[in-house]
Amino acid sequence: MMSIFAFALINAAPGDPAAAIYGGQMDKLTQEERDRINTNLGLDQPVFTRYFHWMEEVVSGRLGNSYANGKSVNTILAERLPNTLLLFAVSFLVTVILSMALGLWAGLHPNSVLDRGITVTGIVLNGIPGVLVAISLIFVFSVQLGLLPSSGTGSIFSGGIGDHLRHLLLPVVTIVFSHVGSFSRFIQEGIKEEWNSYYVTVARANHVSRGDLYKGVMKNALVPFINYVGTHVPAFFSGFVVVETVFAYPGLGNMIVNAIPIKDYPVLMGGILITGLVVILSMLAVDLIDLALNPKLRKSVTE
Amino acid sequence: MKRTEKGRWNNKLWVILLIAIMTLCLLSPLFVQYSPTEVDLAQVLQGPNLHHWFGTDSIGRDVFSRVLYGGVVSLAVATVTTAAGLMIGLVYGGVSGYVGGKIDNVMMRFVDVVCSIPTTIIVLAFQMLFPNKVLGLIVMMSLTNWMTMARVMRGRFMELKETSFIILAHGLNLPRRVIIFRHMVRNSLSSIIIIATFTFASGIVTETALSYLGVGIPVNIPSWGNMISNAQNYILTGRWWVVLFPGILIIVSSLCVNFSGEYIKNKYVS
Amino acid sequence: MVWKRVAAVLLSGVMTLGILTGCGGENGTSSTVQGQTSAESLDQKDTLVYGAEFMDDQFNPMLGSLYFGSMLFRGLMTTDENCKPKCDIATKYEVSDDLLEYTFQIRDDVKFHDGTDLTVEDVVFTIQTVMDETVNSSLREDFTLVDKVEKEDDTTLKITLKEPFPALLDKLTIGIVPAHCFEGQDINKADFNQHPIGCGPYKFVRYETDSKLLLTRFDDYYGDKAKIKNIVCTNLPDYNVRALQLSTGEVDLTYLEPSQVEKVEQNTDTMVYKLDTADYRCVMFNFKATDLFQDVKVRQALCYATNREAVVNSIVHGYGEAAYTPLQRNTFREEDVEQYSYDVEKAKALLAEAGWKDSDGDGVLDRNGEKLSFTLTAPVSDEVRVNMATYLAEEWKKLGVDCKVDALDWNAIDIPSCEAFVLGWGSPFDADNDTYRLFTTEGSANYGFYSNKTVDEVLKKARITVDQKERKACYAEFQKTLAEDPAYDFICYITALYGANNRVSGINETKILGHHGAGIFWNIERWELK
Repeated sequence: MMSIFAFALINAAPGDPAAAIYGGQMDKLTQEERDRINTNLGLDQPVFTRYFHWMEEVVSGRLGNSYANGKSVNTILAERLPNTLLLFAVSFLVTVILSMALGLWAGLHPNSVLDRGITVTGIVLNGIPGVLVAISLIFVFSVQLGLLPSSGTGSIFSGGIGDHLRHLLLPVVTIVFSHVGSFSRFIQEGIKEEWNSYYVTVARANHVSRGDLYKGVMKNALVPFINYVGTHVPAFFSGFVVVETVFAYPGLGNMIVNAIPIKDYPVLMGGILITGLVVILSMLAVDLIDLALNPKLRKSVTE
Repeated sequence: MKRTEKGRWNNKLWVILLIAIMTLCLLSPLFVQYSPTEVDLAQVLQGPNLHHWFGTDSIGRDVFSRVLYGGVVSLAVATVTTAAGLMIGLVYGGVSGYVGGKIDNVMMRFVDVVCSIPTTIIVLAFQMLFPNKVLGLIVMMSLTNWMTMARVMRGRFMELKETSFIILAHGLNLPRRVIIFRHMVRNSLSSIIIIATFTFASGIVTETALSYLGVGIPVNIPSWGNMISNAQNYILTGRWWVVLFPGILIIVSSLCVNFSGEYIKNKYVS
Repeated sequence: MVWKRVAAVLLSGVMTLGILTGCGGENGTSSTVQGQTSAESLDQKDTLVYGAEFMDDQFNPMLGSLYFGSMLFRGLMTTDENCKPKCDIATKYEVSDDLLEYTFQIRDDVKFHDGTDLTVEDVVFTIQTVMDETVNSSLREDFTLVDKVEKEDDTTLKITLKEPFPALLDKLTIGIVPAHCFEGQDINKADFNQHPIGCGPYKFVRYETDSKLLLTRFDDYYGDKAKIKNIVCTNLPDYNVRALQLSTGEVDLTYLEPSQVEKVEQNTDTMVYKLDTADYRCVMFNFKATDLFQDVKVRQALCYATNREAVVNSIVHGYGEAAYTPLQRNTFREEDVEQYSYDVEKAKALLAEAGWKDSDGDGVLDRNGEKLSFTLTAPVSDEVRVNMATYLAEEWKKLGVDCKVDALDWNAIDIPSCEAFVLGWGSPFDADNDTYRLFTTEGSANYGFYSNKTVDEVLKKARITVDQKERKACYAEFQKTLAEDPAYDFICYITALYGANNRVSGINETKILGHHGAGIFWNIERWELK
């Protein structure tokens, strides 16, 4: 529990480790682009000054301008961030809910078809790279069946919620596919472990009702699950990079991938910084949920 | 958890398959007819046929030999990065677990922090700094896959530290090196192997994803990832074979490794 | 302890807020949208959607050529289906006997998109601005022979040249802009560049950066009023996405790669227009980045070792023609030049003659300790160029030349520093376009630093010669000299492949297009949607 606080603090402080690493590299980066137009970093100053300058600028909201088209990085981020957040929120919720449903049911009915099915499919799905899932989905649904759009966030003519959802569907399905396997397996195994534990045997011996038993087991299995989910948030964002590129979805991942070959450092830095922030915030949110659910933790917090 | 006989047999199958694929790839120079880089403009975009078992790509290169050579590259990258990450994780986690106390706390906080950064993005961003792309890829992948190993090793070492035979060894004043290597590491071997397998699997997937994006293995060296790099075009224009075969192999190898991991886990861990 | 957590959350929140509100402060220029169309209610029935491979990032025709220039702007002259100059805003022109004075009469019914009338002052302003050295115009070189531009009266202007310049009429297709939009402004940074006003058949509505450009019909256009009401140009740099959107109907017209033609034709809703172009691909030899190419025999050997026919048949799927001169699609084409037909033995012999041999048995030729090794760069998003580069590298390997292919993103490529680059050019108009600026020693687009005295003399002479026969002779000599002392290894001309939804009609199939199929919109006002 202490770890959660320390963790949060280290990450949230201005000495953001992400920025720290890049700060050190910025020297090397700008050296390579010496023939480019001046950045507001000042090439003659030592590394640390430059880094602090940049951090100053960041905190006051000025992230510089893109090398590619001179647009303010803030504007670009503002355009891209909501898209990625939407994608994250939807796919995260769907994954969690789906895996909870599947995992709980499978765990509580061991050796059923579903249980065995999930064990195997979980591993299988985990092993298939998101790239291939995405490409196959496009092939089936966009090319062959022509049912769903293959890129972007909305079409020119319709717009509106329904259309946005259609565009969101395939990317969300891809991401859910990649993670639902491991998540469900985690709950499934968690439940099975709980079921075999001492207190359950005792409860069963005491003829505690099935319903109550289920509730108790689920609650106890959910706690480590939420932790697991929390640690997997960064993996979600890693996945976005590829999924957004395949679906030409204008989000942060796509922006970062496009900035790299053109060495557009301001955009890159801004993107990484914002991604880091979003990841940390989501992990904090997960921690808070954890706190709410787990009475033991709550007690230590209020000390 | 009960494992049926059939289940065990199934998993063994995957292990055998994996070894078969690796051998095939490594021995490929001995039996392939065409060089993977040999361009033949007269045979552009041919479907699978008698001469070219997997067909040809857009400049007439034989897909079959490219898939095999690409296999060597992709699997080699996964192996090297797993080994390197393993080393780093082993040392880091081992030290942290063995020493314990405040140092352990600090080291683990650092691991937590590093874990919270999406790894693909980091590898993407930093790989471009390296003039040699392949080296850059390997280094960056190794630097981002050691965390799980470190955590597990630390946990294991902390457990082992409390076991009777280790305490006994300390009591007998055995040299530290012996304790660590002979006893603690050897007893953690099963965990190491399991984590290694999963790291390997994720290594294959990461290389695929990065090469697909164009930032992994550069285009002139065949690898499974960059063979599917132009996937959408090939699929859209009906030339599915250029993408299907590397794709299948990626999935199969990845599954092999994952199931092998399960096999080892079930065999050696209670 | 709880406070620590609260502090952490607050800190993260502050940072996020700071960055996001920073947006508001950053946007200095407020967007003043010209034209009051409520464009949200776009109807697919009267809107053409074009999938563009790239977008212009500014819309000022004085600063450079624009992708969508022919929709927004018109000039004194235009070009007809035969790529010959024809009067547009000008009604007629007279040339003085000494060929140095051109007097133009202009129409009096031309209106700009903001309702003001186009006057001679606007024309004078446009040309003078291009010639102005403080303006970052890439078109300045086109007007170096212009001495002055003057208004004679309300409908007449006079252009005085320093020397006779037959290509002038071609250059006068530049779009005319309203002078009053630039009063007191720095032309390089004016608001006009993002909110253009022209006199073409379509007017600017808005541009969502890097995403969509929205244009709507200009009802007071002096020529044939456009039939299609709205045009949306959407930015789709990935050719896969373009083809996909064409097949789903999200896009009505787009530029295709040769490998996609078959599939698009199979689709009953779409068809492919195969349009001839002056667009060619070649390997540019860089004389500064490496001195391997100083020896003409090396370059000639590489030219002999290029199987152009095979490239046309396979990489471009037949949609092209082997190239041997930059003027192959021009009236001044000279066929009696060295065409370097595929001959690997000859190539090997040339290299041996030049003193290259494999003295250390590693498969790579060397001479005096220097290896015949260089890097060939190609833009990674252009499949055709990458394939050409990969093919050539393999082909040249057989000669013992170690050529490494580097496929980079356009933005990471600096052509003047590439040792060799898969280049493309093509102007369908006057022979001076895309020869003078490429092949003369001080040419602004001579990225490879090619220098040949005869070529310099001949091109300069051809520029100012008016007699057609003499010009032809000059360009003939230019092509012969270029073939003997190659600046490029010409590969092939490529056909422009536009995939279109069947509902689009009016696309002209006879006019020869330019680089990357540029120019297809020349008769946009006559296109219709069924």
